[in-house]
Formats: sequence, C-alpha cells, structure tokens
Amino acid sequence: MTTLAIYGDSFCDWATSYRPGMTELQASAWSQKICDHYTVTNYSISGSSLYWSMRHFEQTWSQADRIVFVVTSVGRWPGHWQDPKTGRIHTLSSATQCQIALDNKDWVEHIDDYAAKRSVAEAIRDWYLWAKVDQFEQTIQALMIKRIQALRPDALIIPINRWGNPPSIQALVCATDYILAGFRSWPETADRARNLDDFVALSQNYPEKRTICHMTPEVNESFLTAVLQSLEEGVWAPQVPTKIDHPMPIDYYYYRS
Amino acid sequence: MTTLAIYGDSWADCSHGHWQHPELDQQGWPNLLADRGWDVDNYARTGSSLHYSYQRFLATHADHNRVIFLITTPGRWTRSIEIQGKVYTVNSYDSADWLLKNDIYRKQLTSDQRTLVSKVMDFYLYVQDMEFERTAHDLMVAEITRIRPDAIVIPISFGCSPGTDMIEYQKLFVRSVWPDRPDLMGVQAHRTWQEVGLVCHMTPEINRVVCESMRAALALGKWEPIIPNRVDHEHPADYYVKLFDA
Repeated sequence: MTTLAIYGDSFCDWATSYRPGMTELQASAWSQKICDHYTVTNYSISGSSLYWSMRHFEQTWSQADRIVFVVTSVGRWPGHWQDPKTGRIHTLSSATQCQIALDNKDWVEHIDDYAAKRSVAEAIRDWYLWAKVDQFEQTIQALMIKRIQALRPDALIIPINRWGNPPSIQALVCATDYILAGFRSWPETADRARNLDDFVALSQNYPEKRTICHMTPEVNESFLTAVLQSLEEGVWAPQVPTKIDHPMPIDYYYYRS
Repeated sequence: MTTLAIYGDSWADCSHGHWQHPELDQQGWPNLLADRGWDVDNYARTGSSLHYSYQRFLATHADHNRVIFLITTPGRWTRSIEIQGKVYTVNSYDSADWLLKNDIYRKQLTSDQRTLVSKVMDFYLYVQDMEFERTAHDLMVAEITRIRPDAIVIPISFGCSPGTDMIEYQKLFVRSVWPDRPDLMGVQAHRTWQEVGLVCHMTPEINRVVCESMRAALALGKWEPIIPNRVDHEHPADYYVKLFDA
C-alpha cells in the first residue's frame, strides 16, 4: 500500500485528546480513517508549532510516498515540555494554554522541578502577551512553508486557517472552512458561519463536545473525502460544500458557553 | 553611478562606537566606500536583528545594483523600544538588564516599557529556543542569497553564515595595537573594553582595510578577504578603547 506521512497539530492528531469520553470518536477522525487507504505515519501533535512539524518533516520526508502537511497557526512557541512520567508532550500553544497549565494542579504535579517549570510557563504566557513579534513569526512561517514545498513539491499543504500566513497559503482552502460548513447545517448558527472571523465567535460560543481533530464526525468525513481526492489529483484545491449536514442537533456536538 | 545597499548591525553602522566623537562617523567603512565613488545607502542599525535587516532588504534591495549584507548573530529580539524619540534595541538579556538598571534610561521608560523589557528578559532566560532561532536565521540567510545571488554576504562572527567573519578584523586590531597581549585575541569585546574611538567596532585605520576588502569583494563578486598581519595605528591603544582591566 502507498505510504503517507501526516504532519500537523490537533487538526490531525486523533490520539492525544485531553477531554473525557472522546475515545469513541477517535475512529471517526479523518487522519485515522485515511489508514484504510494508505499506510500512514502520523507525526502530528496537538498544539504543536509549525517548527515542530517541520523538524519531523526534515528528518522523515523522504520515507513516505505521499505527504499531507497541515499548517498550524502562526506564532506558536516552538518548544515543548515532555512529562518525564507519562511521556506526554505539552506544547503551551497560546497564552490561554499556559494559564490553563498554571492553574491545573493535577497537571503540574507531574512536572519535575515544579518551581522552575512554573517560571517557564509564566514567561511563555507573558511572551505571548507582551514580547512576541508577529511580523517575525509571519516571516519565519512563510520561509518554513517555502522550505517544506522545496523539499517535497508534491506535498499537500493544508492551512488550518489563514491569519498571518503568506498570500500563497491564504489563497488555499483551509481546514476551518470545513468546520464553518458544518455550522451552516444548524439553523441557529447558519447565518453566523460565513467566514473565518465568524469562526472565532462560534468557537467561543460553542466549545467542542463530540468532535475529533476539531471536527464533528460528519465534517471529518467530508474533509477526508477532500484529502483523498486531492491526494489523487496531486493538488489541494477542493470544493468546500456549502454546508455539511448533521443528523443530530448542535447540542450533541457542542456545548454552549 | 552604481548604487550599493548595506544591511547589518553595528558592524556597518557608522554612528557606533564613538559617542563623544561624532566626527568619526566619516571614518566608517560604509562612508569610506562612498568616498571611493559608490553611491551608498546604508540601512544598518546598531543592535538590530537579522529580521530587521531582512525586512529592510526585502523592501529596498531592488533599488540597488549591489548589496553588502552583514549577517548578525541569531536570536536577537526583533523589536526595538523608543525612548524619548531615540530607538533602542534589546538584543540580549544583558542589554535588557542594562536598560532597566541604567539610571538615566530607567526613569525615561514608561511603565509599560519597563514591563515589556522585563518580559523580554524572561524571554531570553526561559522562552527562547535557540534551535528554532538558528533555523529561522538560516532560512533568512538562504532567502537573501536566493533573492540576490550577487549579494556579498559577510558573517559578523563565527556561525552567523559561512566565510571570514568581522571578528577577524577585531583580531587584527589586537595584533596591531597590543602585540604583547595575545590573551585579548578573540575575546568578547563588549566585556573587555569600552569603545571610545572606534567606528563600526573598529579603529579608523582598520576601517580603511575593511573598505579595501569590501571593494575587492565587490569587484570579485565574492567575499574572500586577505587580512594583513598588522596595521599601523596613529594612536596608542587607549585612544581607541578603554580596557576594563586597565
């Protein structure tokens, strides 16, 4: 069977879900279902930076026949913590995630040298809030994507969103377009799911409940179809459905904040 | 006239190294190149990051026939802070610490600026991932040479990019004025001496040597300088720098 390598963040990482009751959903993840069609190595880690993915890509790109590279948000901290006891990777991908880590006593108990790690988490949070330079992050994001494309011109590059990405990536269909198409299937959100700006408000008002890779099973299915077809055609330019129907009401998939 | 763009940090900023002697600006190698007939636009700024120079390069290189790009060290914080109309870079933990401890500047910083500088110190101490910074640095250098294969690319110190680095000219200074102090060879200059009569971290005499190296590189199309063993200096060493251990 043809080999496929997947690089990216939580949009492709079905394995590390931190919410309870999520395991039954894992089988519906697009990055899991695609294993029926390809021999897959999935290098993605939730919350990881583009730099994280690029490092894995640079070490492994030549080993796979096909590549799906999901481009994460611009400006994530490029480092990570690895819990020495569980081996779990913690990425601290935003100021909010840093604060959640700092407030979570159960979580930090696992970390050796608690005081030092707490200082690091606080410093990373404050870097997001004060010291991060968006223009620099955008410059390096563009150069990393260029590097990936130079090594594997055949790689499917799929951005999760468009903010801060170079124009060539902003022009592409992004994973969030599929989530918006899902929101258009329910009357109460249909008119509020027009574009990426709407997505910010929707994701705040409707926290995820039964989703995997940030997508409902139905959206995962539609996204999978797009990825499979694009792998066949060799180009990521799918036609996003106007809406992706769901058999259950929105409350089944999302909380209300 | 052929136009020449120069990008870089203090090694190409003619205002650096002699705050009590502004007349020395003219002795900096970029200005000496202008004296030798080049129409120079010098975009270099003391303390700046590679990203700062890279952005200036993207915006302006097409306006120039030739390019000299001095590659600074990786990992400098890429923003600057304006204090009473003057721009300050915070390119290391030490420079942030200095800004907060300096009697004059501490009082001139706004409350938000003081907080920002302290957060930048935390960035250097806890957050910065040097492997990432190295990657970002190498990607920018590769892009500069891809966009302008004719650019003369010069590292300021070891590891900034391939080739003879500007520290070799600092060693020339030590060889020339302190032949009996081999211990000063290759030191961290900012920890060893205070610059008094230097331009671009070098004496006027060595700036003239650098100017000739640059002219040769522009003629040759590549940076392969031949650095002399010593250069005669008009003044004793303490005219140019004050050693901290003196």
